[in-house]
Amino acid sequence: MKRCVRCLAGALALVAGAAYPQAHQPPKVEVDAYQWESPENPFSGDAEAIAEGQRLYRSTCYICHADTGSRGPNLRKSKLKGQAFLKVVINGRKNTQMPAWKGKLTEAEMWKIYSFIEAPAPQ
Amino acid sequence: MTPLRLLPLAAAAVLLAPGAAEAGPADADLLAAAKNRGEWLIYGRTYDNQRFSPLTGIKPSNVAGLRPVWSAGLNSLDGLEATPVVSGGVMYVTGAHSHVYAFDAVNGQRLWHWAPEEPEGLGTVLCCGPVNRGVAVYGDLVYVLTLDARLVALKKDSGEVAWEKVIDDWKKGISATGAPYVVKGMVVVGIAGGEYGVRGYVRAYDAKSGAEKWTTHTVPGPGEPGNESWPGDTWKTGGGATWQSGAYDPELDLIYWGTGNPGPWNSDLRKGDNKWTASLIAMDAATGKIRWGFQYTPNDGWDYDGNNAPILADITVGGKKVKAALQTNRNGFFYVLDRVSGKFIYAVPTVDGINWTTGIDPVTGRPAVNEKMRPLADGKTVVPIVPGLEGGTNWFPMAFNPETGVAFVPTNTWAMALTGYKPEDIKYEPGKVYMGMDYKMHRISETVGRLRAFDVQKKKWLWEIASPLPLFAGVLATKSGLVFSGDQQGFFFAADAKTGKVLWRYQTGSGINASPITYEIGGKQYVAILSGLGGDPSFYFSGPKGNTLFVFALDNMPAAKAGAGKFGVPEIEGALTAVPK
Repeated sequence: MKRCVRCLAGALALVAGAAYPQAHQPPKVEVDAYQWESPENPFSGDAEAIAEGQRLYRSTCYICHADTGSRGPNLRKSKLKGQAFLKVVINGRKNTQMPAWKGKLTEAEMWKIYSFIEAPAPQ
Repeated sequence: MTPLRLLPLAAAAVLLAPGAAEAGPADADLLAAAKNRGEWLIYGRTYDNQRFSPLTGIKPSNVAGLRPVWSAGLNSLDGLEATPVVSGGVMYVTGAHSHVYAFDAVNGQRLWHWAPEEPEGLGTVLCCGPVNRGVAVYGDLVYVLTLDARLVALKKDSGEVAWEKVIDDWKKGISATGAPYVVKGMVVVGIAGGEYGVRGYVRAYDAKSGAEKWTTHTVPGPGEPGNESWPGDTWKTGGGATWQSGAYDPELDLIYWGTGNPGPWNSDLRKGDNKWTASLIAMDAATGKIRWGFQYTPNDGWDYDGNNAPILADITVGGKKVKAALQTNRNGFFYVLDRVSGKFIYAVPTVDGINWTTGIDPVTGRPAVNEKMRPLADGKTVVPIVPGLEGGTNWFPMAFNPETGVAFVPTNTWAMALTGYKPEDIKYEPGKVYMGMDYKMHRISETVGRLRAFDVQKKKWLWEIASPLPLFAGVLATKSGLVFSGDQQGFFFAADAKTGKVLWRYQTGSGINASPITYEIGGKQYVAILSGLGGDPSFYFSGPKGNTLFVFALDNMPAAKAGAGKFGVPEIEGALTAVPK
């Protein structure tokens, strides 16, 4: 039964492919050409950077992510760590309202924001 | 910008488009919109914004038979807030990201679609989602505001760009989401950006050429009356954004426009009234000069924008005839003003539990602030403040039946916590958030939303329809005695205007954050609504997203004279092009 479902799905994909010829083209390979200034968080645990990260968080992230998530998810609970987190900040997320911050925030500023959300939440 | 994916077969489609040969509405048509039964020519249907239709085909006795006639998927799942415009048999409507669509209003065939290019990083200056509230149609052009603060004029028959004007630099946090407003050969526009330290203004462009006619700042500069209500240079980043549309009184020749919150939110950093933020201003149409202003919330510290455009209505209050402006406000009150002089007439609370003020002065309309509920730049949290910043109502327009004097007001009862940052933590940087506060909205009862009917002459609440989630949809009233609106559970509904009894509802699949319209073509009445959760409601709860325009009628067969009966050549966007000759 499962197999038949797969066959059907395959047939449908072919039909869809006929309507959208780009489906026959090889998938685009996303090349991450980003050159990291710092491959790891250079500010982890640095109190001054965390304070600056909080200020940056408030003027950039807070309006959507608030303290514990709002229109955007609770970043303190994000499964994305280190570079994976920053990649989303740099490039944004397609088909969501998360914009690309490349050019608006420096990498150092992004790491400071990351340091802030990694640190214990302010009481 | 590129005129989009203009369909390969656009020419053929245009030939068949209903209304293609007809000129669009002229000034006389817009002035007489109230008498135009069938069309919906202006954002608020008429210059007085009453959103009251004289149509009677759909009525309480038959509304249960309302069925979908056609629907259309729009571009993205980012929230739909528009009011469609119907002119010459064509419906012009916007989706998210300032996309514009033209449909045959009878059979739903898409005639064209315009999609602006968006600059990278634009999302970093949008406080409340990539939303748009609709177009204006005038002569041969359709006007739309884009999120990157441009005014674009499209040819109504093809969707091609006739001209465009950059209103401002979006990188400074200035965007545009409202419906342009056409008055006397001008396109009048407002800007968004109250959370980014902008200085608000209303601007008029020549509707044909796009030449700028006048700009009126809502926050007065040095030497202008009201500048003394701002300490030092605080006026420069004072907010007072103008992110909705206006109203127009042709006899008085006044354009009315609502203004938003001051910036930053911490009111102690800009002691004074902060004119004309959180206000209604009346401007001379020819020059934009401010004739009068009425400030709903002086020295606002709660994000109580006053942007909702007023409904203009001639009513009798206390035995006196009044040319009134009716406004329902984020601060939790419903206002009745004299629209000739700007004088306060009365205000009533729209929600229970208001605590930011101890009351409104019955003569001046000035609120007495409860200072315990004023958050300051001191790092302390003030909670619970009622109403919360999303307001006793928000941008979605109410409707008014001029025959009964009843306004149909969407309201929300909720609270907020505000924590003001300390002054050293508040710094203006162009294009960055300049709120100066953390905020959190809270529930205070099982029911948040209430659509309420208010007799403005008797000052009496008549009925309400409760909703567990906040309401974010506009309202339509009809002469036949119906009220249409929608809720965040996805229901589009019709209620009896006399009793509030819900007579019909339809599940649209996503939260409704837009405003319904009705129109008549070929003797058949239609009702249209956009369904798609997004914008502010998506801050507070999750639900299925949607992107659909629904059109309803009393049976689901297109009228015999469908647009007029021509389905034309379908548009194809994509790579399936014709065989080269």
